Amino acid sequence: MDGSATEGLSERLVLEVDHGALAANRAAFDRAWETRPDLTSESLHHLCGAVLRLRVVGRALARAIRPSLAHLEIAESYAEPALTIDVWDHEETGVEGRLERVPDGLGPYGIVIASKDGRIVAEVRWYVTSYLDRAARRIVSGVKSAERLYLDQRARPFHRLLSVAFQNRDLAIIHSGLVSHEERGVLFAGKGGSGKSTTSILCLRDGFRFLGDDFVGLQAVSDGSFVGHSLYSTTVVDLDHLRRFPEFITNAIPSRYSDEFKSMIYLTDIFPNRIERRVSIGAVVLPRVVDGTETVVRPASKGEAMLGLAPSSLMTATGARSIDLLGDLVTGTPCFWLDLGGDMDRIPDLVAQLLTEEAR
Amino acid sequence: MLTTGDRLRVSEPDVAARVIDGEAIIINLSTGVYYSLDDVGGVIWALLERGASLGETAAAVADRYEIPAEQARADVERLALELCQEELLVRSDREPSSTAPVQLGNGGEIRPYAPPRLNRFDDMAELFAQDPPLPELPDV
Repeated sequence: MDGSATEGLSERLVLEVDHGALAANRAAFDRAWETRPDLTSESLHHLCGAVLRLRVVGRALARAIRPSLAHLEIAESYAEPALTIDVWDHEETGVEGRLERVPDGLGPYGIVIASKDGRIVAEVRWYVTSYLDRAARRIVSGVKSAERLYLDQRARPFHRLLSVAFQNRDLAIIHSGLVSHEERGVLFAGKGGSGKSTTSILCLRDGFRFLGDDFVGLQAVSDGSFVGHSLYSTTVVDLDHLRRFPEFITNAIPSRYSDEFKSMIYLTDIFPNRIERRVSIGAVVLPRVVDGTETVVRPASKGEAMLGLAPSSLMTATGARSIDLLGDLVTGTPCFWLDLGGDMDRIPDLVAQLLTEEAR
Repeated sequence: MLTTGDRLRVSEPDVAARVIDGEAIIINLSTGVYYSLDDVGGVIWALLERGASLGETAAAVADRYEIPAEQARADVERLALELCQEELLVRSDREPSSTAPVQLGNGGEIRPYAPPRLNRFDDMAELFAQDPPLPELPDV
């Protein structure tokens, strides 16, 4: 990467992607694919209404990243893939690629940078460099070793680049939980720690269908309604969550890193028939922890819903365009506060009840 | 220093904003700080965003809320200055984006006047600094 400032893009991106780096890694993936057929796997997935092709070179790498997307897998498609993800393991294949250095001062989540023309977007993390060629609709990712992946890279592979690849006027990947009851979806919105994950998992445990607890796709439909899309069938939980859901402990996979105090759970292992791919959105719910014993549902204003949804979602989605999508969602969808008191086991019944009442 | 003839525009591409039911929700994507403006503040934002000058905005506010012109001018200028200091708006030499009347979400209901207040939320600023949001990218 060179250090020249970009023009036409936000000034906060002072690093620039080198087109040559992408070309080198593309060549390295092709070499790995051709020389190590014993380690290759290819799958198709239905993602946000489009077909995603995933090609992996590396058995351990495939075991690490494919399961979170397995619920979206399809046997075949007559449609051309809207996006191809090519990813290979340097150590397992013996094929080295270029791994960019994470700039000083950034944590394990690294940084996302772009080429001056905006065509190439790169995610630079420790031991992993991934490039999205927006024009070619292809992600090329070099992983030093599957053993070095962080939990979020296994639980939500490529979510930042997928946010860029799938973002358009009518579609964005947002920071929300999503469950469905009787074919109507409830989006749980709010920043980290608001209770989205806990609420989503409580509903799943109680019989709801699950589409995500952190990142989901949101798509506007021509009739003014909205559809939510599942991306991942995993959850990443902390110790508090495991205390609340002790039945999940045996399925919890801890991180290899001492500074990642979380565990990952493949929810398809526990609830194989409750993971959904897409649903029509019936309500937006803002969980919040309150003092008191009683869990209640209260109406939320459109402004409150937007304040709960937009800031954290715009970290995921790309900026100004997505705020209009979110604004249209809250304008056209019933919005509620879910005040989380001590009796959180009431949550699924309350959520089901508000969906039923809104459907009338 | 702002004058009544000044026009402002949203500080693109780092600022995303939407007015919903008369409330303006504004997010500075480069800092992670987000804001809300309701009632009078939402009206002022909607007018300034469309390119109305400070003087035109003050006149509209005075007319809408039936308050003295001096009070409207002082409040509009104060808020506009604050919005510029927060780097949400910058001076513009563009023509207004539309001459059509601003459609406000409250259906024309006149609420009692209260000086506009910019509500500022910085609880996500640290997170934004650690994990900067994605860039606004041109179409390819």
